[in-house]
Amino acid sequence: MAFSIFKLRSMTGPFLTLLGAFILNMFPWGNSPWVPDFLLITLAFWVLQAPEKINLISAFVLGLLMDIQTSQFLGVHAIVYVTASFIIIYEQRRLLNATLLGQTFIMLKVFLIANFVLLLILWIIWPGKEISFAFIIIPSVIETCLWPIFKKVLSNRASFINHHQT
Amino acid sequence: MFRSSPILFNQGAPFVKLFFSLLLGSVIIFADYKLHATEKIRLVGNNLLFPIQQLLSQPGKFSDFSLDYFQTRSSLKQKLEEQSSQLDYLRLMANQAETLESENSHLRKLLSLQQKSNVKSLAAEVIFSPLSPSSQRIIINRGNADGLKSGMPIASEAGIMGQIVRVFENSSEVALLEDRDFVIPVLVERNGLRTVLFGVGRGEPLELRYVNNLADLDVGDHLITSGIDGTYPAGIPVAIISKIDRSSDNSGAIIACKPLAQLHHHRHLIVLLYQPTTTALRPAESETVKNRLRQKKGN
Repeated sequence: MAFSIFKLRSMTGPFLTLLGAFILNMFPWGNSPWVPDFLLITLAFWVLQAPEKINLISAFVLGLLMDIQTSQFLGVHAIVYVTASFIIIYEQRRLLNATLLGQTFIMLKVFLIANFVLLLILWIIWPGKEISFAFIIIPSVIETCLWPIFKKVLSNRASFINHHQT
Repeated sequence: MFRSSPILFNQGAPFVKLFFSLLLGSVIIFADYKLHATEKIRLVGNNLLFPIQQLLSQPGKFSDFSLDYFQTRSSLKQKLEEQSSQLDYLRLMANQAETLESENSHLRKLLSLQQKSNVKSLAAEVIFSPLSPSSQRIIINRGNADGLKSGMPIASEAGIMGQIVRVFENSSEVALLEDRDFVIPVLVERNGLRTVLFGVGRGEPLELRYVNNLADLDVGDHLITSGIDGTYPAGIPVAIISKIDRSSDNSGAIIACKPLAQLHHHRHLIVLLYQPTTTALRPAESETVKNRLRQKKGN
């Protein structure tokens, strides 16, 4: 019995929180640089904590969903999420061994690259207009500030993984 | 029992996966941007997401409602007075408009011009504006089920706001005037000069392009739709010229315009059910061309 609950949690933990983050993104926040991408933060957390469950393919699918939601060209967010997930997997050891402060600084880099890639793709599709730096820096900083909070909240859901590893 | 491989062997960055994901992503973007091959997927996805979007926009609606409900008596009284005075004024205007209209129709008959039919309209509500660094779009709560078609103009009481670019079952996507590559044929109200107004990008003024450096334009001139392309009904206000920079080089004047409709402060707007009329007759083939064709056939 205990085992089945354990298994259920390990299945639904990432899925439910990612769905929740997606719904959080769907609120009518408006179109301004001050709106962070909650799904990106949650995805980053799960790619770091459970790379065997949430990998680049999940990131790709979630990105496609996000493209439909924001009525962007299909595949733009998919590439952004895949790139962010890749950097996190690449930096996995440094991230897991760092203190919370150090981890937050590495995440700032990840979010900056993700938002830069988003604008870069849009710039490639529609060249001519300069990239607006407000849309790279402001969301990245807000997402970095949210990272410790999301980590705290999601770690509760991820407790089964810690059991698994010890 | 099956267990995933130990974490030790999962180490290392998945370069191959990254490469294929990026490749697939680029292919999908290309298919969407150039070939418009993914509209079906988008339609299905949007139908799934629409009920949630509708639900999530409810708190905003509720707050609007409660604000309306708890308005104080004095402000209501003031509003009533304002409105009654406005009503008198409008009555006067309506009388004037009636006489003008009868006069106008008479003149039209005289000129045997095509009589313009009144454009039907449909009220709609903004659900949300999707987050996007590049474009300015909004989603409204009317779609295919209400008879909307791609290309129909959207207006507020002040003027044109944009155009429908994508229609879903119960919602549709509107490109605002400020959207990049938005084009609308306009007419300067004062002197009838025909030009084309372009959207430049979010937060930037609209631009009148391809205008002669010496053209008769002034700051404060009103621009109205010319109705030439058949997409927009003629005579609806669009924008006002806010700045003119007549450069000394040959590139022409840079003319910045401000939309008359408040693009970002409206919750309610009007869809003009205006069928684009693209039934312009092709020019008749001239005799020489016909003769040449006959000769070719003969050979």
